[in-house]
Amino acid sequence: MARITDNSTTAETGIIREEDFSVIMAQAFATYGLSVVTDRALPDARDGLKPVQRRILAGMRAARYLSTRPTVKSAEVVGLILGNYHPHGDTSVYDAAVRMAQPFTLRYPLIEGQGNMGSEDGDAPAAYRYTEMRLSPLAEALMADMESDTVPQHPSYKQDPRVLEPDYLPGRIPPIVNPSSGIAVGLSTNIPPHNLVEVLRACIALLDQPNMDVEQLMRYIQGPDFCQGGRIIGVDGIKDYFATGKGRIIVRAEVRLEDTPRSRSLIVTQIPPIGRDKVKASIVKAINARKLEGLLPDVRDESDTEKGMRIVLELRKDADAAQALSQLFAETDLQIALSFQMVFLFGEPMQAARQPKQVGMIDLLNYWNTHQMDVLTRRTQFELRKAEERLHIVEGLIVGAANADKIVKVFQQAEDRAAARQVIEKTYKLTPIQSEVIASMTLAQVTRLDAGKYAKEKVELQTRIGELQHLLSDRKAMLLLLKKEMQQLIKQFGELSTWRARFMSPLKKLPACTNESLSPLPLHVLVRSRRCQQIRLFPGEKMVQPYIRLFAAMSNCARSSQPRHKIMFCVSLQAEGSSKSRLIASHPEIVRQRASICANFWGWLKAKRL
Amino acid sequence: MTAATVILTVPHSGGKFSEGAYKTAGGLHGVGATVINALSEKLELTIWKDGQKFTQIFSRGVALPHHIVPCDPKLHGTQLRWLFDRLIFDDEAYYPLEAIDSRLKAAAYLNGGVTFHLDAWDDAENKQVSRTFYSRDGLPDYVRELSISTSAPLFKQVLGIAKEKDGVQVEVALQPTTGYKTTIYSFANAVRTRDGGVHETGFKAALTKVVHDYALKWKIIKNREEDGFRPEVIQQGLNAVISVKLTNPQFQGQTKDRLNNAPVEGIVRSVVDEGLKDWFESNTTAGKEWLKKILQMQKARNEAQLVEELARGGNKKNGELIDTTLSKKFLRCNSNDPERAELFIVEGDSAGGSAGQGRFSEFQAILKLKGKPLNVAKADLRRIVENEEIRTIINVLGTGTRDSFDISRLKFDRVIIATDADVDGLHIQCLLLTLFHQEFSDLIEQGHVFIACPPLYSVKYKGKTIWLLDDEARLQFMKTHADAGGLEFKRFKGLGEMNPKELRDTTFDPARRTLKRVSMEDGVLAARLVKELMEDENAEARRVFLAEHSRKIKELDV
Repeated sequence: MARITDNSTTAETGIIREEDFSVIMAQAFATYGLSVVTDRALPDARDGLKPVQRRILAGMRAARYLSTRPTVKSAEVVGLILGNYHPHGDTSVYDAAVRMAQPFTLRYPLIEGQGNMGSEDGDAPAAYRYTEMRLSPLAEALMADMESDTVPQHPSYKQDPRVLEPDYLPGRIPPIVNPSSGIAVGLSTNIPPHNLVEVLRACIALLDQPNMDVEQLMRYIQGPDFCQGGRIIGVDGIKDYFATGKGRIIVRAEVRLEDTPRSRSLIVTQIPPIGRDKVKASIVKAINARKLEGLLPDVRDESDTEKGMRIVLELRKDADAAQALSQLFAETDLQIALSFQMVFLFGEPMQAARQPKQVGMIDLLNYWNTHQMDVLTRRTQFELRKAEERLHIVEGLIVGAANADKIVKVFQQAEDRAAARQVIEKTYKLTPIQSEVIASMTLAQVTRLDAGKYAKEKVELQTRIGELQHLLSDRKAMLLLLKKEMQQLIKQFGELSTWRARFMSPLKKLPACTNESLSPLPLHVLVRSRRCQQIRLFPGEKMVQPYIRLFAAMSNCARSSQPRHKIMFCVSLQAEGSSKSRLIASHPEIVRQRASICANFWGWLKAKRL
Repeated sequence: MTAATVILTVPHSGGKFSEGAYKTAGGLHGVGATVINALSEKLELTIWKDGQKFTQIFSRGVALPHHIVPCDPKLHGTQLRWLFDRLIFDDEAYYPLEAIDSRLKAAAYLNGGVTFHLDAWDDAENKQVSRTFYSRDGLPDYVRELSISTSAPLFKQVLGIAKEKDGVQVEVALQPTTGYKTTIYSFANAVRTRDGGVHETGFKAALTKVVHDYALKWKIIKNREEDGFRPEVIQQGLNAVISVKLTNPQFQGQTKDRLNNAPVEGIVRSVVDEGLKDWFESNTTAGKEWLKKILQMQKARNEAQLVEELARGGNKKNGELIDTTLSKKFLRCNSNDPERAELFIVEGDSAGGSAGQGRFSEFQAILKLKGKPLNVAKADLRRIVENEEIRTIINVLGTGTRDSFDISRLKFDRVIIATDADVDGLHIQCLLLTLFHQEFSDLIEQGHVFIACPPLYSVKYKGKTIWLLDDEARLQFMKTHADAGGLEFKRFKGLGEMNPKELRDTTFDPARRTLKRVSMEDGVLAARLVKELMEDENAEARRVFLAEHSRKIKELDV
């Protein structure tokens, strides 16, 4: 209703409106709930970010806190984001930023942190007056092309037209490489991380074949790629969430046996994606509840930055290692079940995402591909515009340089700038932009060097314009460009993408741990291709469950090898400390179909009872 | 003097204690029979034994010569006939029929298999009555009869335990009923021990233990500490009779109200323990039913306790004169007049500071909430009672909650919710309205609950500051003031953003403020809405609700 003005009167003359309880409740709850769904807890399907994350990254970029510059005090970042973009508490901003800097939380960190950024053990980060941060190269890649008019921007909560924030990012990195989870109202999301290289390859393939099915997709993306590794058991859960967005998998820790004259211990080197402190606490709890009889009551965490993760669980003298292992998996958090549902926010191009939806992998990646095409198109349009504008100016400059003497005379005779410009516009058929450019030319610009440069530039621009126009008119050409840029990303970030999680073969039941699971001898697998390329895997590591690793390794190898090559799989044993290996089996195989390679070798291995 | 004469004339001459006499007897001082004899004008004693009949008459306690004559050798027994001395007792004295009746009845139950006959003149009916008391089973019959007069038994059978241990005969019968009245009678040597004693203690201890054992075993409760049953609750609605017969009963006092033999406690306990266990093992269904009823009663009692605690609210504890935690959160107003006073509930210290300075301290009080209040529709009663914010609110309002709600004790005529103007503020409004609806429903219905409307925007126009209530107001302003185009509208997110003076003028001043009164048009709809939106299990319903409303709501507060 009306405004409240300055007329003060006595007593109770303020306005009292009546409103029904149910109306207030419904309205307030709906507003709150919707805002949590669309503007807080759920990530956008185009860039994989929640609003607070997007504001942090975009804000840091606008303030040039780039990976090529020194780090900036976190307090500065927090203040910047709070003051300009995010009208909530400082802890929410700092906590979100720290999370984006933790390599054990995000598979591909978006922020580079300096100082104590928290630990896998659940330790809190240092206060924001101590730590420093800047964007990571990956974040910059995520935001590439932002200034090319590719995404819509709107004024932030300050309502200041000069302070803008993007509705979504160009998101040149696919949205499911980093994990995300959030509880909204009536909805929640829980998305695992994935391997960037695999996802990009899948996207490239989807560009040509958007109607892929889950089986085909799984040739590109095996499943989640957790930061802390671990073994994923059973692919049914993966198939489920690839297909529908909802699935459940079981993840086991990587445990191996260390047998020294002094002691026998189980060494945990990778854990499922939960906090290390939680895992240790669950082991302690199980020991106290007398559920792990085979172990000595001691949990030693010998992890450090050199050795990596190393949790030592000593076995009792006569304990059966395999049995202890299965008890560990059954009673502690060394084996956990994870449920996923991939819920993202979707929206039309040039509009903020408002629609929450649960999606399977294929639909999501197709949507992202479409978004990338859109971004690319807009960027091309932008570049075309800019090139045309520049060409226009250059053409004016060329005219100016070529007719400098006459133009000077015009200016000398003219009354003022405006009059002079009008004359040259008429004489040389120039537009006001061009006449202004000429009017501002310096003497140096008419030298032969400069004039020559303009002529060259004109040619370049014309070529460029031609290319851009071709891109815009030919969808196939645009697709090709997109693929090329994705390949570029693969090359750029490939080394960050060495696989961490491993897979069990698609077994329905959880495999029991038998004595064979604990192999005391180190196993090497040598893969020779026709070109005698030896790829040695698993150097010197004692494996607890060798078959599973081999399977994963074979998948990787097979994928990278060329079809119709002859591959020799060799399994050899190498004793510790010696450089000689004893070949125990070899198996030639012609790569006809990548999938069958693994299956065949697998069967062969099992038959050999290795 | 014959032994019989001695018994009836010499005090403390009980023949009960020697072996071969009575096995167990209710008397112990040897006084009772002698006293009766002394107080009777005439007492006739006849004994038939071993083919001889012994008769003796006593007059006012003085023995007259006895006679022994032969009789039929098949006759055995003792007969006593007496008439109370009318010189000692006055004319009104009489033997109450009901007392004798119940005594004989009890005796019949306590000595199963023995028949008692009563022939008496009923003054009320003016006729001769003749009754027979016989119980074959003994105690179980007693309990069965008890259950007839009290509430319905839980199941048909009566739990009977009878065993002898260490020279003590223990007989127990019990039957749980659907009601709440506890009836436990205990007897020692057929004498009613009104104040209980070791046998009752032993019985109760065994009962509590076995009930818990089986409740845990059958997973009716999870663990004893948290979900355990109080003994009173186990005994609630229970009809039980305990009877012990032992050779040397130690009673407290002549009236024999309490049994004191220490070893009897352990004996009764172990017998009852064993007996109950056997019964539970062989009567699983009935046993489970019983345990479930106990559980139900315990839960009801727990809830009742919590509700009472809730109603009392966070009253001053620790004997402090002034509750310090309260004074940090709550700024009183000077006036004590509940018809004038207003309570403003604000979010946190940031708003609280401005509000504290901007209010009219004469009649406006401020209550600061830390964080979001508990969702009472989702939380269980214990969490609600333990929540400090809720207790503070209850304390401050003064009315009590739910059934103890008394609107006349409300300390404020108006309770005004003043949250920030952002989405979290709206959520807090929902949570507070849910709290009021569930615990103080009359407050809303009688129109005491309001929502403050601080202005959303302010703009400087022609040197003056204009406050605009919401977006509608802003658009209206822009329409009526065509030259307001380039003006900067300052948007307020929280009460803490305004200066105290600004806040006072726009939100606190009764002459200038705008308030929304919360009215209750449709209680059914309101209850349903609260259940749908705020209770735990309805995530799907909420999702649907939001989807529907997303079309209606266009612009959102950030």
